[in-house]
Amino acid sequence: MNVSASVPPLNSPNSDNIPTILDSLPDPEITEQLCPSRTRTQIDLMLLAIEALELTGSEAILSFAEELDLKGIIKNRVNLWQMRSSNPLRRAYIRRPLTVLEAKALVVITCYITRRLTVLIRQLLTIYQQLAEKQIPPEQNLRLATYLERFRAHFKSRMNPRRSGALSLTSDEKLDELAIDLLGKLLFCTGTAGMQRYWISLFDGEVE
Amino acid sequence: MNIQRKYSLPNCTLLLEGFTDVTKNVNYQEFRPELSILVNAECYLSSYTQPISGGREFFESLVRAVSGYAQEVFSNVPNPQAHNEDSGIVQLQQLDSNKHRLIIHGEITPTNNQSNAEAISEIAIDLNTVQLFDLVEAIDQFFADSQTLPELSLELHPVIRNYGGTSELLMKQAVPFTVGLSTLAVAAFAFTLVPPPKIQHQNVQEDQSSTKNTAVTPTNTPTTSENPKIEDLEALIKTVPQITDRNKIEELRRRVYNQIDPVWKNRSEVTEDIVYRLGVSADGSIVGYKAINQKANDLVNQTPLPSLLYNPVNRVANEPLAQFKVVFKKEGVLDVSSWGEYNTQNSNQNSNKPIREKIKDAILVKELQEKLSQSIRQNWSARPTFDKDLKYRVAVNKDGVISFYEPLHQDAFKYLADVPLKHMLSPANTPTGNNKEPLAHFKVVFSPKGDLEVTNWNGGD
Repeated sequence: MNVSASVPPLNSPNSDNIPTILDSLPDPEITEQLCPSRTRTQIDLMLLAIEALELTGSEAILSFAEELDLKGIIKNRVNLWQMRSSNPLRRAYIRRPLTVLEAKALVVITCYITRRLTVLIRQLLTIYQQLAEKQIPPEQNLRLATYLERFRAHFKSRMNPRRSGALSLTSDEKLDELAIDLLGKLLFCTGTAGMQRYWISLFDGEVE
Repeated sequence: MNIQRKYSLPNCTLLLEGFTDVTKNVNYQEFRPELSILVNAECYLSSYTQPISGGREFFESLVRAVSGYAQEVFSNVPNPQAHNEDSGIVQLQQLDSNKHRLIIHGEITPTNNQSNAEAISEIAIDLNTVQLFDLVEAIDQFFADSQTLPELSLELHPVIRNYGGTSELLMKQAVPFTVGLSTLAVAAFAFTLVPPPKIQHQNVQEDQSSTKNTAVTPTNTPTTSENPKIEDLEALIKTVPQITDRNKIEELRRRVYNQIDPVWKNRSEVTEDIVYRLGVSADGSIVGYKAINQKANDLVNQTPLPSLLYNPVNRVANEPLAQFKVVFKKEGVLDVSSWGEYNTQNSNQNSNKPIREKIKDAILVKELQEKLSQSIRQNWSARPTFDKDLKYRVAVNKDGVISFYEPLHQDAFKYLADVPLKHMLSPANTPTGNNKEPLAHFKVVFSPKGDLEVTNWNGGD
């Protein structure tokens, strides 16, 4: 039996509501602890790629929020949608800031989901590589084609074509490229230090 | 005791061999002893037939470059750690979104022991994203292993805003396969970022290489074996922002002087001027030095520089640096100046002017001269024990307070305690102060007979 007194931990002065799972992600040196737009875009697109990988992706985000004790930050579906709509590429882009704490929670969840999908992600990337070497179009493989198709569909239905056009994401080929690029990034999230690497990279070029 | 550590992934196996440092580890009976001295690192990649291998320098370069590149994969923002072109042994380049090129310069021993010329080669290995991930993961598992080279730990920092543009330029300039030989020749000439390891390490390394021909880099030049951890200061300078604030530079210049001068012991060993180029971070830490003349290379261990180096493993990435020229003069006098002032290629309109403005008012200078002369006389009570004139350069502010002084020859240094300058130095004017006020410079001569001479400094030391 574990006998423990209810003494608050000594070394975390701001332990009020911040889940300890976020401790491994340091606060970036950005103004007001609000995420820059590139950070917001990247976080949302990574989640979009997860949704293209498994149909229940958005459910998984919420259930992981519960499992990882992040409900205090990602409260419900609407709340999650609002956070993701801070991505300026979205049709439903709302000028809502994304706090560093919210970003951390989404990054942690992304990494936990990708760890579960490691095998699938590796397989898809390997297939893509093999097809590319033989110069066979990726649509020839059913699993890869399904992922790319779903990603394009999600992207087109949720992103504002004028804004994504500015990033020259206009053709299906460009979207496939983006989908594969994101798949590679998801693979890197699965690693031992993947979560920290993903988190720090979100602020590349954003700090002085 | 030989220790092996293996980090195994489907496309990459990292094999580290080394020893426990018995002087450091008292309880080496523990179940999994610490690998603290790396002798050999081998990396087996599924896309390349032979392992790539090398000593500690190679391994540090590998983990730095791979770690930096992994961050670049995430953000698509060029990471300076991955593209250390001039001297980094390992570099990575993106060929396309699913193809990455690992380039290893020199520092590798091909398994069949070839002649030196052939050994200095360049290897390019193309990795797809999954293979690259396995390499990153093997390295991250190493980082996470606290019993293997614990001083090397994962350090992640966002790339600073300004880096992007310059590096794109650098990347465009990167022409694979052409850098090889010349780079190595330059790198071998004592660019040091880490203190030379203890003698013990070297013996271990040498023993090992003689028994095992695949083990360690052939350290053919004596300089490399003296300084196994070599990195290109110039390359570092290129990839990080420069400190440009002249007041900051002047502050750092004095900090460097104050760091080196008190601990420079064997002054008589220096028989000719030896010159180094130093990279110094904003907090005054010496992060790298490069010997400018051959003698400087030979005598580096007679200077305090190796012991003053700040270990870059813990250094903040992209930290801005200032460069200094440090001369250990044969007279036993230390001279520290901003590198830009001497580097004629970079000479700009300010290059020959002192960094801090001079007091121009001739009347004030005259007053200050008298004031300085008086105050030194008042403070100089000891009977001279020296038998030659002692000469110093002294700078004072408009109130006549000594801002800094420099002994101009060895005796002047030796008998510093006999003259009052040290006590007259204003603590407020020590290098930490962010002082912009102009100064007046004087030459001060103390004679053995007790005479004092204060004259206007007209340059040319």
